[in-house]
Amino acid sequence: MNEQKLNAKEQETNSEELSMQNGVAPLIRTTNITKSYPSGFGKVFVLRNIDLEVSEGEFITIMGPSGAGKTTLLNIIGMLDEASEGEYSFLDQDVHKLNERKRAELYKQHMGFIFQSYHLIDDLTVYENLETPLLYKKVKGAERKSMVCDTLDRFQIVGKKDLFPSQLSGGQQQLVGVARAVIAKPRLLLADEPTGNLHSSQGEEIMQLLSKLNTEGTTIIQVTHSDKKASYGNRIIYLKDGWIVDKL
Amino acid sequence: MFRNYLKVALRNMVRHKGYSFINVAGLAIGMTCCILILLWVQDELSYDRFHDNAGQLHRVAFSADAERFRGEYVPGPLAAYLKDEYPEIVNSTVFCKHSRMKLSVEGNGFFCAGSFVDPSFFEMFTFPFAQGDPKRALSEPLSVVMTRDLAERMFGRADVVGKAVTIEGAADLNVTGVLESLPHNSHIQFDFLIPYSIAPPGMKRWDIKSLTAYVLLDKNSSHEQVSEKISGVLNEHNPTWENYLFLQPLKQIHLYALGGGGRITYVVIFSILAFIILLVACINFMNLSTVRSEKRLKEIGIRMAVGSSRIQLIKQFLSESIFISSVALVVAIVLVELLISPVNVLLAKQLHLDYSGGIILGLIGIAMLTGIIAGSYPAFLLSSFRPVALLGRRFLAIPLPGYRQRKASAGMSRFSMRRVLVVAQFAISIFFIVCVIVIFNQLDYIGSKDMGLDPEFVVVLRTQGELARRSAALKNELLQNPNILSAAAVANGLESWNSSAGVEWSGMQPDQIFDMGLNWVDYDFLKTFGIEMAEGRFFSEDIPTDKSDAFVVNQAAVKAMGMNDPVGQRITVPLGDRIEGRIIGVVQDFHTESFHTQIRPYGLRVTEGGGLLYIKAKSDDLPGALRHIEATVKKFVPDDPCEYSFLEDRLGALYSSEQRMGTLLQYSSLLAIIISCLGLFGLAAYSAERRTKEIGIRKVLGASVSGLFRLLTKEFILLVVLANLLAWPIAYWAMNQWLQNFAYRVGIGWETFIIAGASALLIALFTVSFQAVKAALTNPVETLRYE
Repeated sequence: MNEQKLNAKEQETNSEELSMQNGVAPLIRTTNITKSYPSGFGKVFVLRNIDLEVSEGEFITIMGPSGAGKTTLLNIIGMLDEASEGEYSFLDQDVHKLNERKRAELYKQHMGFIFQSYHLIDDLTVYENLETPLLYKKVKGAERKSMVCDTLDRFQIVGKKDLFPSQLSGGQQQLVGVARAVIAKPRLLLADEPTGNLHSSQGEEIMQLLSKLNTEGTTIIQVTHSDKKASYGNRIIYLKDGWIVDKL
Repeated sequence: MFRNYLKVALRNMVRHKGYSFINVAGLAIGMTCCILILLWVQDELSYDRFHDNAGQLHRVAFSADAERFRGEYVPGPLAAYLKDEYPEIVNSTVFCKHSRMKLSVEGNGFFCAGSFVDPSFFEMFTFPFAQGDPKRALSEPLSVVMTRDLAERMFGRADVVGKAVTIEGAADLNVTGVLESLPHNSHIQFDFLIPYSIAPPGMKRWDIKSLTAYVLLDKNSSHEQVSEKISGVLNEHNPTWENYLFLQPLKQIHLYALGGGGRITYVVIFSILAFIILLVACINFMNLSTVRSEKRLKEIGIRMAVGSSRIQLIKQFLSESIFISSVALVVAIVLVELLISPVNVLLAKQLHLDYSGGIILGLIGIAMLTGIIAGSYPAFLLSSFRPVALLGRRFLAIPLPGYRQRKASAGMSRFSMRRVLVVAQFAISIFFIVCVIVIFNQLDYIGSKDMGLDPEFVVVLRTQGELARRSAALKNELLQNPNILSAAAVANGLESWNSSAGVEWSGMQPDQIFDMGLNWVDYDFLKTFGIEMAEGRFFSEDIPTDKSDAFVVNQAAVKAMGMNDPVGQRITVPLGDRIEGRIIGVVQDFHTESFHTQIRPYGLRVTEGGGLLYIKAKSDDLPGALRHIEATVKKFVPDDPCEYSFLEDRLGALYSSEQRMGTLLQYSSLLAIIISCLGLFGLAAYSAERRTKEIGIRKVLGASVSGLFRLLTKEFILLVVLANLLAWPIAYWAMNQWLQNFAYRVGIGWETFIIAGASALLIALFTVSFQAVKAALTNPVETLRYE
């Protein structure tokens, strides 16, 4: 555990140094991201002037009280939602300028999502749930099969491949959720309170899994309420009333 | 990918059996109806297309009276004349449509439909021979070609070439060919054919129109060009007729009546009907899919989150609905196979579903079309949501701004498209109900309206040959039986107005030209039909001049001539050798044709033998009367079969297409209502389910069961009321148009609309109440369990 943390720390400094010193473009850069909704005569702001840079290999935690805009920020980064104002570039591409098709393509190639309530498709088995992102990526049959089998193996859920989500425990479901998110080898993994619905021991397991993925090179951004879960990451961003703040 | 979609669709169907059942049942019923109607339409459109030369064959027709009248009967020699004079006309033949002749073999007589044709008949039309040589079959004068059916009726077998039959007890004919059974979809129907060369002289005169003529054009001529060329031919021979010839393509004869209209109207109406019923079923599907969508929103969100594009989602939902419609198609095909025989009885057809390439393709087409129509709306609606709205924990509370993005929030329940669809569905059902009520009202009216003559218990006996020669004796013999009240010989059938001709009288103005129908009747005419005199007297046996110099006319004729004191006036009818006479009496108007037309001028002459004998039987022993009639006929002509019919049936047949349309609409409206109710049932189930929590809370707060019932049904009742307001004016307009076809018609009362509306409302209420009661009676503890 300690080792991992140290590793993470090292990585953090490394990556920061890298991006600063070598001028390599960060994975994500947002400038002045604002999200607001019209309400009556005025506007309700969910996010205000978010400037953020995330480098490849980071494990970032977004924290803050309910309604601070954590999930919204995550969704905007994950391209599930759009910002009202501001600029967002991912891998040096201006996401806010891309059309829907191109944005979907970018998303499909590079991102994986993990949800608090797992969000598996109820009518599909574990195997088929894992297969779905590959189908959308148009991975060919044989390759797809081997990828699914590899992943089942890696997450040690081979025995559950023919079960439906309703036949699994919460922890097992989330394991499948993580497996599905990483099966296509995304560069960026977004996790919205991935352990929020789990017992502490199950939560532990998932968090360890995430840090393992991080050490293997996947960039991760997670949203959480828990300081303990935050400690798995190497940088924390605090949000309050839509602003980035130094401390809560 | 597709397999993945299919799997989800299948598992979804299995998991939600109720919805799946409603979905598949609705679509299957709609498709069944659609397939049956399309089979009928296909059959109607297939008429006369089986001839190899179908495209070049035409019937010769003429227009008269400045295009006001179009007819098909032309003089016999015309066919040969046209072929000789016009090089574009490669071949021609005569044909006579309604001629009944007697063929006998070894003393057994058979009345059958025979026609005189030119030997080239078989070169023009494609009627395959079972036996015999088409080229030489009718080249000898005393030869006959018969159908397989007639051969089997007469001889008990089909290989009868070389046998002899006697025609009209006068001449022996040699059977030179046997035809395969005629296709039912041929407008040319006959039992046997004989050469035109042996036709009676009357059929070979230029001044009598007694036959129809068909011509075969060469491949490079259009019928418009040839029509123009031959237009004046009839006038050259008979300038007074003012008849102008034209050609009618063979393929149009069955569908298009010469005078306009025809069966094509029904083909169009029923094609539209098929489409509407399918549409109602599709609307159902759309409705249920959109209400089910809330359950699917999560899946859609997940799919978007793991990388599905909008197009892929649309593809998924479309393939899902096409899958469901394919399942429905299979059910529909089974239903069609089960229903086809009763439907054939209803339509008087021999439809069947043959699984040939075209039909299979058509069926698949229906399934695809249904799937796409039914699935497109849910597919586009569902795929337009934004994933964050579907997955976010608080999505119900977040008002999403949206250009393309739609609210996936509580707004779904207020979503108006669904209500529009329910209203549309019910409007269609109500429209059908109104139509059915009006049509049956009109048919009722026809059945009950005083015709001016009493057709009850009147038996119609066709007399020809020996029977016609001895008709006076036959009549006497018949009247011996107490069950026979009266009998009258009549020349023309009483269900038609024919042998019309102009009338001339002294003091006639040039603008008073009109045609009068003529009939020849005997002295017992009034008594047999219960017709009353309006003025003067009827023909009498005691006054000999009545036979040669007397007319009885109807009131319409008097009105047309504008006479104040008609009795005693002389009129002349220029028919044949000019018929002249004094009007001795005026009969009250009676109907001689269908209620589609006004009673027209009609004149009667007296005769003792007509082709038809109308026999009024006593009402209490009709079977006895019929036995007596049969026995008497057998006594006069032992060889011939006794064939009779009832005047009431013959009059009823005038409205057979209306009757058929009424019955069809009745079934259609029933189906539309069933489908609509299936949809409403699903919607109500959904609504009750969605409001479970609300109902629980209301109950806890003290709402009564009846209050909750009202709450749950109010919404749907309003929709049905709205549907009524939409359907009424359209139905009124449509039925008003239809009633214009009748000169004698019912009005459309407001009760019609009230009945239609109320029944739709009741049915809807009944459908919805099942769910509403269930929901209202549920224990709130259960519904609030999860909160």
